[in-house]
Amino acid sequence: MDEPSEIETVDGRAIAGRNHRSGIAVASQEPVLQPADARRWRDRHFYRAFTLPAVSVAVGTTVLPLALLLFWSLVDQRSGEPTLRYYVQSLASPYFARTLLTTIVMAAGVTAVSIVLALPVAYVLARHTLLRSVLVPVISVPRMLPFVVIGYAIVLLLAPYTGVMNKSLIAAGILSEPVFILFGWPGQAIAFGYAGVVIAIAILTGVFMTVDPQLEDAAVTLGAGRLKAVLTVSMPLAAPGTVAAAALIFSTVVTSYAIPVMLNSRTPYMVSVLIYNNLYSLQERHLAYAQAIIVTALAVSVTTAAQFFLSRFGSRR
Amino acid sequence: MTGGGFRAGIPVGRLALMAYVLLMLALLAFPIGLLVVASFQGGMKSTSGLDGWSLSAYAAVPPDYWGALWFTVECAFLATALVFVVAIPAAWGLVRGNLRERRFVSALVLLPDSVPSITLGIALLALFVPLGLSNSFAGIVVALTVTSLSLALRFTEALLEGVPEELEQAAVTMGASRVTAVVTVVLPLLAPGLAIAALFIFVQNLVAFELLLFIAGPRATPISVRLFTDIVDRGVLPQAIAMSAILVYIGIAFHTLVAMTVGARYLAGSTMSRKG
Amino acid sequence: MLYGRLGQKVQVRHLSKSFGKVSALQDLSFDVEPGELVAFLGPSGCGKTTALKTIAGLLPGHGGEISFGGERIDHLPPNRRNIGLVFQNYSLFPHMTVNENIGYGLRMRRWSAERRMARVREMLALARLEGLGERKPEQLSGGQQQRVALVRAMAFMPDLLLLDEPLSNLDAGLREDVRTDMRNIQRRTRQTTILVTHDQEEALVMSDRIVLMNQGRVEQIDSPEQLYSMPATEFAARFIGRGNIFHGAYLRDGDKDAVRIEGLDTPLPASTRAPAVGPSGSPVAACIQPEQIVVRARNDIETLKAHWPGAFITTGKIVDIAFHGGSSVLHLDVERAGLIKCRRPVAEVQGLCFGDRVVVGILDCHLMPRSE
Repeated sequence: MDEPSEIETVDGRAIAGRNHRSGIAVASQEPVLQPADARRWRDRHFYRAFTLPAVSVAVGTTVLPLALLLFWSLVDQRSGEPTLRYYVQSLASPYFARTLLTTIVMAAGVTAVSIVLALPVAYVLARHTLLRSVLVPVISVPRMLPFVVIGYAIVLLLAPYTGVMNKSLIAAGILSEPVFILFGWPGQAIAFGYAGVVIAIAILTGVFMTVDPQLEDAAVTLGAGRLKAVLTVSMPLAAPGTVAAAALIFSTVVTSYAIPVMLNSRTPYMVSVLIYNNLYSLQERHLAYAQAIIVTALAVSVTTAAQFFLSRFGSRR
Repeated sequence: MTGGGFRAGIPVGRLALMAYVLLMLALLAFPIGLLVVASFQGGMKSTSGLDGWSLSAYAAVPPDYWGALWFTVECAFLATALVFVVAIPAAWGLVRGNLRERRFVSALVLLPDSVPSITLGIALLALFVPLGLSNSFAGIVVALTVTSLSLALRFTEALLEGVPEELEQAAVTMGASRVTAVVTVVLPLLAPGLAIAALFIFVQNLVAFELLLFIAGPRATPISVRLFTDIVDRGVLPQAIAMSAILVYIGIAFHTLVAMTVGARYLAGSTMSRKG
Repeated sequence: MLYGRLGQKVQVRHLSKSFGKVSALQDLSFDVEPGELVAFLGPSGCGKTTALKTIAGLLPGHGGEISFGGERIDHLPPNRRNIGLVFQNYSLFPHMTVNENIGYGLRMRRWSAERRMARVREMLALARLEGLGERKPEQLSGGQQQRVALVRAMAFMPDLLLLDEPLSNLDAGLREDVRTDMRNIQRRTRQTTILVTHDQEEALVMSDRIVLMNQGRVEQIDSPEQLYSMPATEFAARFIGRGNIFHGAYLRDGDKDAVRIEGLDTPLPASTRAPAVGPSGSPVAACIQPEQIVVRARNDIETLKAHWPGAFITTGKIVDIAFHGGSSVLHLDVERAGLIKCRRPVAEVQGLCFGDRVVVGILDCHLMPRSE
């Protein structure tokens, strides 16, 4: 037991005095007889009171609506009877299942590709101060734009007749007529990939910046080539950050709504479009609630799995 | 007599890596550059030449776009102010009170961040409709406040940890009440950090999109939602491209401001996430 | 081949390195014999760490030659130079166990698993870390981490081991033990080693030879004893901690050396001088060891003269006197020469006290070229 805590246990008032910021004034007014415990209790509630607004905002506008969502998803929209049929109906529908699967495949693919594409860029940006300060706007400006603006840019790039990609491919003689496929799932993949790469570079640059470059030098003096040093030392050390970035990209893509609608609203590849249609076009609100909860469960479980991985292997750092 | 030439040969690997990095960054910058170029060509009619430069697209920006932009700024500003009114006392209570429920409160506040924005949007809509808050200024401000609460609280907690408690105690021994001590001693010390945090949160609020899609309506339309409904309903309009380009300029301005105040390092290293 | 192999002679010739226009290292030449421990000593920023990293190959683009056993290695990338480097902050891989850290260099050299394990065990024993092989570096004490870093750099039997300020990250109390440990390991393994340090005591105690550096240049290369007793330059004398340095003019009198110190009438006899001292009359710095100064009470001048005939005699005042175990250290204000430190056996200075006016005899000094 170290010295300060010994003092605290010897004299109960020392604790109260330490926690009670206006200790001097109070001590003169109130008798010493007051048990330290009671004062500590009152003291804690004094501090607790300050957190009340934040807690009530969080409860009122997150916990409560989510609870309502869950409740209504378990209640029949018309009769008001409790029912599981919205979940059963969703999961049993091949259409929903296929869309959910496409969504997961899309999200996983985009995540993997973004991380792989971003790793070398993040590594270089983290190691070259000059390059980083010159090129960081390329990463940070897109994150200061509403995503719909990125959507406009992608549309300008990929649109069937007017898009730059089609125009230049036709001008170059590679295509004889515009391909619509760029506007289907490949277009969505490109748009998601854009967002994914931006997020991945931003996070991974920060992650690599926390890895001491001298560790690589150490590996090199021990006989590793530069690439081998990166692969055996810096990459493993950046693994937790990489997992966190991957989880973030995955959950963003899985629930992304705007890009699929902007790039192709006719064929709902993505489950969030399905939900939106159920909510607005089909007026199947409770079905949409159930499906939103299914998607949320998916996204949250991926994030939780990543967190589990981090707590399991992240302590290596 | 020159030795040490082990890198004197062409460093193929290094060159390839640098080429790759520059190519990737160019690819990322390309669509945004394209947008800006298109905005000066009256839309997307002749995106492949320098001929036909005009400001017609900017001139065609209708007043309701400007209205939507101003509406967004108002919402973002108010929400940023509100979130700190809530977050500063909470952070103080959690840090100084050393409360047992600190982790629980952090998790609670983080909930809006960990739930997909489509779900939170639908949930808020379900709550707001009976309250008459959907399709309203207040509804959007509330939604923005919730989603930025965790960031504001984390920022403020971190800043408060950096201010020694002894300063507050000194003020109290000189006769200040605890709240006065915070207001007169702690807040001024936090101010620079809070200003930067507020800037971040303001930008985040300004560009919020997917969540607001559900709460917005004809009477309360942030610019991002307006641009979205236009492209879905009416296709790509020249004035929408001009407005997107204006948002790009605003983004660049904010980037420059943040880079100048905080340093570019923070921008790159920040793990601050943003959805949609 | 228990611990390693007897290394080869290391030769460094005309090594130079500059960063942009700033020259960090100029014309560094020295040899390290197999099994020798050479220290690079100098104040911070003198280029010793630059020299180390250049030899290791971590700073490309230098001038000069580095060879092991007559074979040039400076064209090789750092991973093929077979040089072990212990970093100042150890740079242990935090995600690997102690075993994995020590075995890393062997893995890179494609040793078989059994050979690797045997070697790692040998190294753990050498570092007295048996049983800690499965720990992560963060679970070790500073001293243990330091020893892991040391044997990690030795495990693959490097031709040359480089130590960058290996003790600077340790508590003062621990430093002496670790120093002894490291010196023992080095002696037992006969590992050819270069040690970088700014601590003259560390260099004097640990090394066989010292390369004293200043502003990117070599001031002196000598054994610790030689460096201490015969510093080649004023900088060397000051850095090695030999107080009592006076400026004067060199005086060659027949085959005897002397120095005329500014402000003093008679020349001071000098028994030794550094080779670089110029002709008679050139400016020099004279270094007087505290042991080479004697004091007597004012009225005792005759016994002093009788005891030390030929001593240079002047007068002064005691401004401080302190008891240091076997000897007393006196600070004297010598007339027209200023403050001077003197160390005498306690018995000899009994009866003298603070403020006393005394006779001061200077027995000998060492002459060196002045440094700016």
